[in-house]
Amino acid sequence: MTEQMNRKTGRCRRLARALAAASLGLAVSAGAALAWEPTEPIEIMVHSKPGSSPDVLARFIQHIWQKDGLVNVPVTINNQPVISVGFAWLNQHEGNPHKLTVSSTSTVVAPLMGTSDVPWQDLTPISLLISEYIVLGVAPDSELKTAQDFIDSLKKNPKSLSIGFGGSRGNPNNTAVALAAMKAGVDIANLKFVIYSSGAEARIGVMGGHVDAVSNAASGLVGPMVDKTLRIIAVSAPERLTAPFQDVPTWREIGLDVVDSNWRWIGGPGGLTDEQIAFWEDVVAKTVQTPEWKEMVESNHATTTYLNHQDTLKFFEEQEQSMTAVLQSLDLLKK
Amino acid sequence: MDTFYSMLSGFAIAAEPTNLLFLFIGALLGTIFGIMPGIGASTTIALLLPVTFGMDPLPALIMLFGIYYGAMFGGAGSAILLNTPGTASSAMTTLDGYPMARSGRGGAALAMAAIASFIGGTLGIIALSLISVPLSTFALRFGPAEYVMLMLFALSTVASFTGGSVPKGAISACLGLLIATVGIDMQTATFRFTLGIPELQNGIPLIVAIVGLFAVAEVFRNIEDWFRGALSAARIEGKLWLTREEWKRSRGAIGRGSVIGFLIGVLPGTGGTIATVLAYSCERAVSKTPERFGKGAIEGLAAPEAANNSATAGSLVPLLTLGVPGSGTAAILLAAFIMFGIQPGPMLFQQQPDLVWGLINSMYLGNIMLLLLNLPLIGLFVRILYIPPGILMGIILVIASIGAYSINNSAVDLYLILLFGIVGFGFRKVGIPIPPLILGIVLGPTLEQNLRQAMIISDGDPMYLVSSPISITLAVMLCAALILAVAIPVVRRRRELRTC
Repeated sequence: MTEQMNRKTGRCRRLARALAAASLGLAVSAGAALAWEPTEPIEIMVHSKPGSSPDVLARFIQHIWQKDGLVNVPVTINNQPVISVGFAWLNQHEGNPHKLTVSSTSTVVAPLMGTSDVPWQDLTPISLLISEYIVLGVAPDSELKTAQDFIDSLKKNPKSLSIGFGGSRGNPNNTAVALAAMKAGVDIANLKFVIYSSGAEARIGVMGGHVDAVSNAASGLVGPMVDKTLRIIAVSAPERLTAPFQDVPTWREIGLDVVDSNWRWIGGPGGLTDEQIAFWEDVVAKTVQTPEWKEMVESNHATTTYLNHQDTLKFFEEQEQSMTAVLQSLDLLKK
Repeated sequence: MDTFYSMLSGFAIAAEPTNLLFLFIGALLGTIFGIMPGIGASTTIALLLPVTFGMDPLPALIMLFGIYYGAMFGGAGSAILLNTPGTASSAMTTLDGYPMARSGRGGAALAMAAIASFIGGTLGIIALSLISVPLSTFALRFGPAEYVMLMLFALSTVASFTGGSVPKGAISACLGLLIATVGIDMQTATFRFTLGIPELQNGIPLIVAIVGLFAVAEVFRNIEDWFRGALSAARIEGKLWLTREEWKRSRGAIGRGSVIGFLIGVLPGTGGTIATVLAYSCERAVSKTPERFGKGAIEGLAAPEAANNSATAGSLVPLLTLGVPGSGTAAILLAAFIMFGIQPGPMLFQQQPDLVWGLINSMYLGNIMLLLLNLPLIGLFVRILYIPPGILMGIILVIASIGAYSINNSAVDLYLILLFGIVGFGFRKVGIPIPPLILGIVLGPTLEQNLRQAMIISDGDPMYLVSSPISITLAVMLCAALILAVAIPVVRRRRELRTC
């Protein structure tokens, strides 16, 4: 049944794509005669391996752009090994609006820590896309019933709890907990952070009783929370997340002003013109309005936090300030 | 009873024409891309993920899983014929597979690889069907301390590769451990031994080291032979199929390899490569004629091939029951599940039995398909051996370079395979075994990170490492292995002296 439908929609889709491309073309040419639009294939650089979460997002964007005809030139993904190499590659194409990147929090954090030598100011952010807020989980039989218990324990002795997370030092899993403890007056340089190669491994570290808490993006802990193999006690969002996280309090609710997330943004190399930025702003604004995008964000328990070019710049500046403070206390700032 | 019913109906679901079609596509793609080093299952699955947007989850997952275990079949072919492991977990297959091919038994080696893969894979899936839930609770008890002990135990098997000289094996293993430290250090986010080369920040990819040490070194060795005028093409001797004796020698190896592979596969963060190393050294340890290993012993090929396929099934245990990937490829499969809005975990078996059992049972069919797909290809593949060495070596270099480059799209990896090629050639000249070096690179990161996790958790107390029944058991096994490693050569030497 679904088989046949799929095949049919496939045929319809091709027609729809052609129509959409045609109508978009009309709209653009009618809208502003001077407006820029792409004339050669688009390359989206991702500084991580195929299959990593920024890569999956970039490929999803590629899929929407081509399917809905938002961009009427081919779009390819270019995987680069590490952030500094990736951004160096991007800036070899300075002023070329056909080269884009989908990147993450590390854009701001890596230069602060000295793990990348390309400051974000050398790039052209187009817009913030999504934020994955960070939740804190403990074992169901843990003595830590609430976020307050967690903070109280650390206040008494910063080494009393071991906190596992996946990835590397200075990532949002690390900074979200550190920020909360810092705002509560804990000496965060002494916290016991146990780093795993993935959030999933950190999670089973808690489930197996090897570490006391796990800090991870909400999407990675939704299964264990529903299964009740983990208890989620706090979220680093400005307000509570939607179901099934509706009962998880924010850090703000216990009086700690913490909002931290793993965010993703899209942008290009340095030196793009206002027309070029405006074109991409418009495409991205349309992308995040598609039903598929909304469905993808919801199934990932993320939040669309779209910002335009100007607001994204402001956001990066704010992030740089707050991250500098927390990284300083964690002794992770570049020396 | 319910579970039993779900298992059976899973077969009906797996055998639906659409699912069979996608299973075939997956198995075929897996075999093809498994042959190429660098373009392994993980890259293929990642590249195909966007294609599956909008597909029904079951056929899509069946296809992606098919690529995963299909690549394990494909990886063996290039390991045996070209000394170029197509996947990291087929590195051990080269040790005896390639000598077999050079001595005219290439057809038998390929047949054994396919059969061992089939049996290992099938036994692995049976275990996955029957005992995945209790096993996953056991895997949970493996924390940093237990992993440290397990890794040390695995490292102690180095002795079985050294063929007499323990110091030479130790040199090789230590160099491997050193290579494993290159890159960004996870616990402190500082760079180590990156020499200012940004491409080294992620460390040296295992497959780059393997391709250099095996494939490129083999090219150098052939060039040397050419200068000496001793270069000749391999021949095919006897029948393409296995002899009765070869089959008899391999049966036990396949069984042991399957068990080891599955158990190691179940532990998250270990993966197929470690399983093959352990299976190979176990086979050597139980063999009455360990000196044949490395010179074309068919059981040395059967054990790791069975192990890497059953490890693949094993790594699906934590993936399906805990949502924890047991290997890099499983991590991408997890991403695929999440993309379809399916959350793997203990509830998945109850909430979506059709999906889980359809998927698991499709793997039985997939393994049969792969066997049927691979066996007829043997006659075609062995023809590669008729290619004159001068041309064949060129082909190996091209495949090795494309494979290395495609991992990171980075030219640095090309220099690295050349460097590792020189190291591999040099090692062979002075008689230092290469497998311990691979073992060091594979085990190093897991050993180091778990040790440091353990030290952070325990605030620097070494007794934490032997504070659970599992870690104590592993520590005892480690001590026993070390004592045997020292004692066996001594005993043997005495016996030899006596007989003189």
